[in-house]
Amino acid sequence: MASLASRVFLPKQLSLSARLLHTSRAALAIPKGPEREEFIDQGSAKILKSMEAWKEQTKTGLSSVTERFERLHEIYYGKDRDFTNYPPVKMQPHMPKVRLGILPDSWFQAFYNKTGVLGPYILALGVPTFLISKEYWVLDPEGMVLLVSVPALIAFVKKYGQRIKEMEAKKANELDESVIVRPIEAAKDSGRDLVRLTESQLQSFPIVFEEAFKAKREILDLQLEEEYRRRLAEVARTVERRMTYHVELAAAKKSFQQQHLVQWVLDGVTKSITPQQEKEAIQQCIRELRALAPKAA
Amino acid sequence: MSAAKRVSSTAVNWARLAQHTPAQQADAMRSVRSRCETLVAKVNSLPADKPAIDWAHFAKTVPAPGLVDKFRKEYEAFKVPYPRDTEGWHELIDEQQKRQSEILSKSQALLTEVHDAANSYLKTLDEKIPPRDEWTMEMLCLYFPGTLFDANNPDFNRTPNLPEYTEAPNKNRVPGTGLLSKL
Repeated sequence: MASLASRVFLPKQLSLSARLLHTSRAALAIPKGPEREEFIDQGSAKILKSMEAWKEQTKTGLSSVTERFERLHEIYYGKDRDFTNYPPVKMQPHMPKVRLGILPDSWFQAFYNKTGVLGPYILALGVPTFLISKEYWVLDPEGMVLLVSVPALIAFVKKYGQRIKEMEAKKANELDESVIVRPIEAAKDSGRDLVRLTESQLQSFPIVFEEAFKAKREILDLQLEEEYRRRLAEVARTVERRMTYHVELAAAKKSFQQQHLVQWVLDGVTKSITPQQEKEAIQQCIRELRALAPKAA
Repeated sequence: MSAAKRVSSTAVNWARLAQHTPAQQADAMRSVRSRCETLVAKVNSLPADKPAIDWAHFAKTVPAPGLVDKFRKEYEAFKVPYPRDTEGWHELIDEQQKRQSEILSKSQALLTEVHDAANSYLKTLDEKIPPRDEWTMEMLCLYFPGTLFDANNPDFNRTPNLPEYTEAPNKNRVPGTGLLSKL
C-alpha cells in the first residue's frame, strides 16, 4: 500500500502570484510590418481616392451646367440685351380678345376714336350691302351654300370648340412640361438630394469617428478590467479552497476518531458478553413474551 | 499603463452612433456594440474589489492555531496586479486615430467643396433660367445640348418623346416610306 500511496500525484502548492500568472491568458499579438500599416489605414486611403474621383466628377458635371446657364443667361438677359426695342416674346396663355368669334378686338379699337362703338359694325353691314347692290358680289345659286355652311360651321365651333381647345391646350402644356419644366425640376431635385447628402455626411462623419474610437478604447479597457476581476476572484477562490481544505481535514479526522471509538466500545461490549449471560437474557425474553401473549389475545 | 480602473459601463452614446452611422456600416456598428455589451455583462458578473471571506467561520472550525490569522493577513496584504497592455494596443489605436483623423479632415474638405458646388448649382437653376413662357427653340437647343433639340442630334425636331407619339403606329414607321413617297 505504501507503493500505491507513493504513486498518487498531488498538485504542487503554487504561491498566489504564480497561480495568477498560471491562469492568465496571453495577450493578442499586435500586427507587425505591412499588416500594421494596413491596420492603421483600414482601407481609408482607397476610400479617400474614390471620394476625390467622385468629387471631381460631380464638380465637372455641375460646373458645366452652371457655366453654360450663366453664359446663356448673360446673352439673353444680360447687359447687352436690348429690352426696349426687342422685348421678349411671351407665349400668351389665351388668344387675344375677339368679337363674334373671329374678328380681333384690335380692329374695333382702331376705329373707336373716329367712328365710335358702332363704326365697325356699320362697316361690316355696309360693305356687303354695297358689294351686293353693285353686283360685285353676285348671289348665284352656288352662293346659297353659304346659307347652310356658315350656320353649320358656327354650330360646330359652338358645340365642339371648347373641347377641342382644351385638348390641344393640354397637349401643348404636356409638351412644354416634358421638355422644359420636368427636366429642370429633376435637376433641382438631384441638386437638393446632393446638398442633403453632403450635409448629413458632413455632420455624421465626425460624430461616428469620435464615438467609434471611444468604443475601441473602451473594449480594450473592459478586457483589462475583466482580467483584473477574474484575478480577484481567483485569489479569493484559492484562499477559500485552502481554508475549506483545513476545515474538511479536521472534520474528517474527528469523524474517523468518533467512528473508531464507537466501534471499539461496541467490540468490547460484544466480547464481554459470556454464554451464561446470553442464556439468561434469552430466558428473560421468553418469559416477557409469555406475559404479553394473553394480553394480546 | 495607467492604473485607472474603468467602471463597468459604456461611455459611448450608442443611440447617437446608431443614428449617424451610414446604412452600409450598420452591421459593423451592431457587432461592435454587442461585443462591448457582452464585455460589460462579463465585467459586471465578476467582483469589483477583493471579495470578502468569512474569517470568523474559519477561525471557529479550523483547529490549527494561528493558521487562519496567517492566511487573513496574507490575503489582505496581497496586491492583485492590474493587467498591463503589454503588446501596445493603446498606442496602436492612438496611431490609427491620428491617421484616420487626417483622412477625415480631407474628406470633410471634399464634401464641403461638393456641397458648395451643389448650392451654387441650385442657385443657378433658380435664377438663371428663362421664365416658362419666354422659351424659344433656340434657347432649348443651347440650354440642353445633346438632347432632342440639338441640331447635331439626328433625331432633331422629330416627334417628341411622348407615349402617344412613340407607340404604334408611329413606333414601327420607317422614315422615307410613308404616303408621300408613293405619290
